[in-house]
Amino acid sequence: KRSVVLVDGVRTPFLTSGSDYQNLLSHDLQRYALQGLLQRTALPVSEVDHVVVGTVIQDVNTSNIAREAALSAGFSKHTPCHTVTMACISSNMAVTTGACQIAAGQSDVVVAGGVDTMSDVPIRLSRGMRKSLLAANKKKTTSGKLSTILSGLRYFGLELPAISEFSTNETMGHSGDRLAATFGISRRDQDEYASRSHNLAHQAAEKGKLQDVLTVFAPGRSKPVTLDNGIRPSTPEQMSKLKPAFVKPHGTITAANASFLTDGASAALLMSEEKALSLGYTPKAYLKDFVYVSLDPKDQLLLGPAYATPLLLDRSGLTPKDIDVFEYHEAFAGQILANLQAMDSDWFAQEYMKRSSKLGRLPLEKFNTWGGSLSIGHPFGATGVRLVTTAANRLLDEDGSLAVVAACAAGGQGHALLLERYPK
Amino acid sequence: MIQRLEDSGKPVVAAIHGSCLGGGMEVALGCHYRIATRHPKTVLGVPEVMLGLLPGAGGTQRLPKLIGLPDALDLCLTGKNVRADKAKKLGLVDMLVDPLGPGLKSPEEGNIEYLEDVAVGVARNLASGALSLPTRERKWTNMKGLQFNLTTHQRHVRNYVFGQARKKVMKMTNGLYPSPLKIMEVIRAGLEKGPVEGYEAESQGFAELGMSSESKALRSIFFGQNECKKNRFGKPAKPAETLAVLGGGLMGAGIVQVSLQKGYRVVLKDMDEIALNRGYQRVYEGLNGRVKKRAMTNFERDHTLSLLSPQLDHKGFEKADMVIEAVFEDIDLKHKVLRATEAATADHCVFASNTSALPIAKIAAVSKRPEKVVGMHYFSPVDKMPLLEIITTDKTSKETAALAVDVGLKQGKTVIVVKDSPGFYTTRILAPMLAECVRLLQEGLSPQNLDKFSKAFGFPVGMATLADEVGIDVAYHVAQFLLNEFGVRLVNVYMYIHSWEGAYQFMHLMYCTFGVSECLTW
Repeated sequence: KRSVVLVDGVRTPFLTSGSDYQNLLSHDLQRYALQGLLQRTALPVSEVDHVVVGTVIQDVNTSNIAREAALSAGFSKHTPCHTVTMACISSNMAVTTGACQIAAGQSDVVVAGGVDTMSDVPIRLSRGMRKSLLAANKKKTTSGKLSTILSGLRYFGLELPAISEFSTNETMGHSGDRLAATFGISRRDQDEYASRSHNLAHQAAEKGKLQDVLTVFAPGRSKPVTLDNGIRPSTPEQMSKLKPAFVKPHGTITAANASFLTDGASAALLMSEEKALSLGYTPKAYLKDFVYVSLDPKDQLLLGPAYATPLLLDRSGLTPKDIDVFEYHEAFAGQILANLQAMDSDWFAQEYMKRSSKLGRLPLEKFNTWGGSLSIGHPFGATGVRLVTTAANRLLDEDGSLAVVAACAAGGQGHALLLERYPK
Repeated sequence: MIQRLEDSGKPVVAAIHGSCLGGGMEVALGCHYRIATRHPKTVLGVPEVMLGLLPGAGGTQRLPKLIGLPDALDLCLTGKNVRADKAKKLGLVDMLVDPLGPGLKSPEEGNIEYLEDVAVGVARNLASGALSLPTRERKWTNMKGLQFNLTTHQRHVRNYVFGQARKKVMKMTNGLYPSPLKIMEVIRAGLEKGPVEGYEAESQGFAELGMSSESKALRSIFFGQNECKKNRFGKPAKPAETLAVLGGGLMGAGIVQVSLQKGYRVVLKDMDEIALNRGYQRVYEGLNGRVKKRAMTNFERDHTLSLLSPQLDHKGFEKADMVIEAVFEDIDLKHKVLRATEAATADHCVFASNTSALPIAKIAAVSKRPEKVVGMHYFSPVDKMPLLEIITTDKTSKETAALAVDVGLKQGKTVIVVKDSPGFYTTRILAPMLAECVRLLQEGLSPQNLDKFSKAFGFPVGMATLADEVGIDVAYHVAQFLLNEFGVRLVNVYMYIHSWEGAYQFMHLMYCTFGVSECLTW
């Protein structure tokens, strides 16, 4: 098995849906991220062996968005590209897919990315209408076509992409609220955590820590886009005024302590260690190990990190004390706190994780110190690469050695990844 | 006492999880606010009518005022179970609380604690004024309020509602069950004459019904059914996980469907692709019907179907714990099937026959493992008819019987276990009745009158219709067979071949026959 390194990672600014990216489609955003990566790393396109992109809301015209975005970004047309999907951990899957290809010797250089936009979503006609339109298409005469369409009009209706879990019909916010209640996470705790996320993100942005953010020149706009626009530092007191969003009236998740609908894209450059050195790069970190977990989508939808973290650490004989940087995806403040509680509970460890004892409390001072998905935003497919890049950048900035990235995802799945800072 | 709750100056909140039926429901009705968990176990209702009684702790007075007369009549007269979501829609509960998953304690404990927390919070808010009690008065200005007030409080519309309800009750019961009629009387008294008269009528009515022979009979059926939920052979050493059903006809498909719904892996085998496909489609339609009624989601239907393996061969039969044959009532075919099955299954596999009249011992005659052969007589439609008649021979082992009863109970059936005598139990008691029915027809009674009189006596389905439903030819064969077995004990039979128009429902026959409940021995 060859060593896999992260050379660098970039991302477009993450914007709230319906703002400055509203005229762009997901392949546009991914193109910007890929172009940005090429420019940032000055990588000749002929060196890229493979491109893999993760995304959730698919545009049918660009179902292999990796290919379409890479082609239009100027990558070589002789570079194979494919697209993966795993809900919120789609680009994590892109990263690990690339890493596996490199480790197994199939590729030396892989570009892994991710993108999602909620400013434009596929809205379909109802099934009945689609059927009648397709039937009309097959009719030879105009009158035949017309009569088929007219008879199909009674099925008129629109289908929007579902926001609820396919197997349980429950929205993620609703599940998250139940999770918070299950672990006794109060509204106050959640608002405080959310406030922390926004404040830290704001500070990190001000201090210029968020090095991965690109400048995007979008056509027809008067200014380039340079900053994430969802970061809003507020106090828990201000947040306490909001009403619960998913479980009314006694719920705890509100718009303030939940991640928001975001548009954005990210891309990372992975190589085998030898290739990186031979091309003259100094890698940022090794991608050492990773795990995926899969849980009950009804009652454990968002507990992925709680299961994945101990599994990952066990594989390398590590404990939380050995880890310097934690970068976890923040779907909801309540979800983060519930996962932390679950990892700190002997009862949960023994009953559900089949472990002899709990992992312990992850140290908050090492946790998401540059903000997280709650404040920076969560374009579903793009977050994974952002977490990996941020973890590597934090290792360099904070002079750490080991980092753990983890995330939960719709479908009840989860992921954790171990990074090791590349020696100086 | 419930009145004291209602009158209390302090807000009283009912926190409901699990069963809230009958008296429990009536206590909850006396509270000012009701919260229920959206849990599959949570069920509300007033089933007293099923025991020939009425909701005697204020239910008949409080329920119409809360949810309106039409819905109150629906609940009281049918005794139906109401799930949490429906209860919220009806206005029976005011707020729903979601069940929680596993956390720092088991989900069961967590649910109760969460419910309590929310309920206490609500009670506090009610006391402080932060939350105001939903007005139980409805306005006349919106559609729902208008409907409520007209049907419950406006005399003429109310009378119409009672009239319609009465019509339905008479159609279903022929006036033979006093309880639904008394319930309507008592509700009416309360709405027309006020609470004092209403409560008085309710307690009088309860006392009267309690003494009635109908109530005694219904109560005994209830206890009998509960008794039948026990497996008197004990738990099987190795409960079944995989079943195979032979024959995808109406019975076979029904057996497959109820087994899948309860989580069994099922192999459905039939003779050729067309028959197999028909069987599969029947199972699909059965499950899809539940989806349409919203008893199941699309996903659950597909997930349930993934437990089904339709096939033409015996692949995987070595893993089967029980094979239920539902093929044609032909002894040679059954022998052929039994031999083929035994060759393909493991030694522990039980062979159950869904025959309605062929003696199990005769079927088992060609078996290498007669101790594993048992009869499992289902009734059509399998997904709706609760009775399952299990027939054991003197060779059937206790373990086999235990397994068969266990499967039947898991399928949600009311199980009776009987000896392998001719006609077993159900056919044996039906045959003389049908024979007498034919005799009456011979003596000149018209089928329509026969139906009329037998329904007036109390049978939910007229005897002539029943004979038609069973099938005159089938009945003839069975009668012949029983005649041979029992000889002179059975009345000599001539059969008219009549054909009657119309399709009738084959309902409640088993309830009727089962009312003669004490002969359930083996």
